Amino acid sequence: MDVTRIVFLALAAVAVVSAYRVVTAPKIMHAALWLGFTFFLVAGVFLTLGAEFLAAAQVLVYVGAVTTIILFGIMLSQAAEVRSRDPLPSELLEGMAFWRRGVLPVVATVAFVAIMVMVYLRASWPAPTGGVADTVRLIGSALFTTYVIPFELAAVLLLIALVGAIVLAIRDDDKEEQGS
Amino acid sequence: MPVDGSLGLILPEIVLAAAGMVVLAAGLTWRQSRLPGVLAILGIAASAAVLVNRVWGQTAEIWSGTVMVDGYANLFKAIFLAVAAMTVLVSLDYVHRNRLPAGEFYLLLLLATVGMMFMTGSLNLLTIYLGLECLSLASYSLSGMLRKSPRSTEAALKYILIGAVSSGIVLFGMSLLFGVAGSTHLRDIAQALAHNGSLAPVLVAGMMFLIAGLGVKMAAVPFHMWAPDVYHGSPAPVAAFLITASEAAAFGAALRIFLVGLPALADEWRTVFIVLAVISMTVGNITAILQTNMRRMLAYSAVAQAGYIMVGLAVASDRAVSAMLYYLMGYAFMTIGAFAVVILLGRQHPSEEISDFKGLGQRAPFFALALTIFLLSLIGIPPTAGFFGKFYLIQAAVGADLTWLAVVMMINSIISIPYYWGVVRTMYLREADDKAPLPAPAGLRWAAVIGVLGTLALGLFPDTFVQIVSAVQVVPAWISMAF
Repeated sequence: MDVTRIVFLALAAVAVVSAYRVVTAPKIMHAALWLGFTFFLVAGVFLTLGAEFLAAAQVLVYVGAVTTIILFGIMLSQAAEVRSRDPLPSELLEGMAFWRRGVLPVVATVAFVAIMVMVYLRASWPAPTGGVADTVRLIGSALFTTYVIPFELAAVLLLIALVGAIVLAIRDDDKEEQGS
Repeated sequence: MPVDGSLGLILPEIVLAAAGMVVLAAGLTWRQSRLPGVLAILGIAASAAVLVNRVWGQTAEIWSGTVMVDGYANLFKAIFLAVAAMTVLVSLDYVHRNRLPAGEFYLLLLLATVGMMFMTGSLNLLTIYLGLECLSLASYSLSGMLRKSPRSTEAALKYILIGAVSSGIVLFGMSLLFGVAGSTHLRDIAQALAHNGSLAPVLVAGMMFLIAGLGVKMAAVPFHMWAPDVYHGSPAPVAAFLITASEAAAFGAALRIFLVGLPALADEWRTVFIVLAVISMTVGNITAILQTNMRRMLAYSAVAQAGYIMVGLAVASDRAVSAMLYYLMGYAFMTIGAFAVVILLGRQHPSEEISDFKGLGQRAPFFALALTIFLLSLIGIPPTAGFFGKFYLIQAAVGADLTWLAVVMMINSIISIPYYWGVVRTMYLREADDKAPLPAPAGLRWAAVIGVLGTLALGLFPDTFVQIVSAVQVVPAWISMAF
């Protein structure tokens, strides 16, 4: 087992644990920080795969921008609104919640992982192509030649996301509309 | 520029997106006017004119294989443009009355349409996925636009959560296919599969993820949980748009992905679609009987209709595909038409209960008659589009030795009669509390007229339309020759 592989496995294992912490952390701020950490580890995975550009973009966009925006969002919203769930009224409901929230996800996850591992092991994957140098240039030229239409479509997608977010979030300044 | 004419062949999409920008700008200046809506209609008309004059009848794969222009893609583009135009017609009054931001509303509607056009107009998973995301993101924000209504907010939240998960599932499936084929092009995936049988488990896994992810958009049971809340809570024109166009786009993309990319796994995905079709029909119809709210009833009826249409995907013969396309066309006309009547009634009865329809026969005779025609078509009674749609689907199922599936479909049509017919009875046989005629805005009237004409034209001249849809090939000829 060479070094790259060990590094890859270590990064992947920590990334899985930290992704698990994102959904189980009781405080939303901790969840956001775990999320940022997960993004960072994924960037490391990209590096071990020889995708330097993707790794850099991952750090800049996800760790830098997305996590920061999420933290801003948490800090600007009223903290009282965001808290972990209250205990359920009856013991029966608690018991059901234990099955649904505790046992069922574990069973589903184990089954899913088992199936996927079997699937991965049984497939004969195409032989790995050798590493490529100069990925930035390759990605750049592919993006603006072969994949120019998907690239433009991604721009349209960005516009949709912008307009959609503004429409849902903007406060009415219309005097006729009360109580918004 | 890669090849001459490449730009011309995606001109309908470009025109539509450009029209969206114009509409947005107009909405900034004239916030409370109908101008953005009128501009949106003009934009759709311009796009349709370009489609008919410049693109219709052409076949070419352009832009390095990321866009496919052929009869199939063009037919879907025509359907989407028609649905978008009818949606704008039913929105004109609605947007104004509910003070929705007109520019943004129509922009998102037009860009969602652009996304759908790319979903069905490509053999490349990358383009298909981006088209799907354009449609999804626009739908999420459109369904939450009634910001004072908790129902609308709930609809948007549920839709975005389930939609985001389903996008992730679709992407995971696509990444598996890409992993084995080394290409996002469906032709290469089909070739990788044809040459190497041991890849099959991975591809089956990828296939299952794609079915689950697209199943969410089709609102097929068991992926339908979001549908009743979204179709009930979102603004009515948006519900009409999602119930027809979004579903049609998902079916259009699914046909391409499975028939072109995964023909070698046909036995596997056909079995899955048979199961999904049977449970969608049955669950949809039985739950619809229990509904007292018109829009929830239509939502469950949409789940059942998705089950009928899925029979075509399960059979997957040429005949079944033609039947599906025919049904999707008819379904668009009758559903948006029905929503036009619901929107008309919603002006006075915002709760949109089925009991609110009482006496509609006297209060708005034309709309009551139109709704009767749409509901008869949804049941599948001649001479409407719904009858021939179901007839062709049943014929295709029997032709593929799936007679039992055809019988299940017929039984389901019978189950559906009471709840559709109940609305008709309420309209004509029960007296209204308030007998004053309902004033009808012109947009709704036009939408209902187009709906009636479309439903009846498809039903009265089925041969003409069957000729159009059977001329269309899902799998382009040059791909079938490659094997």
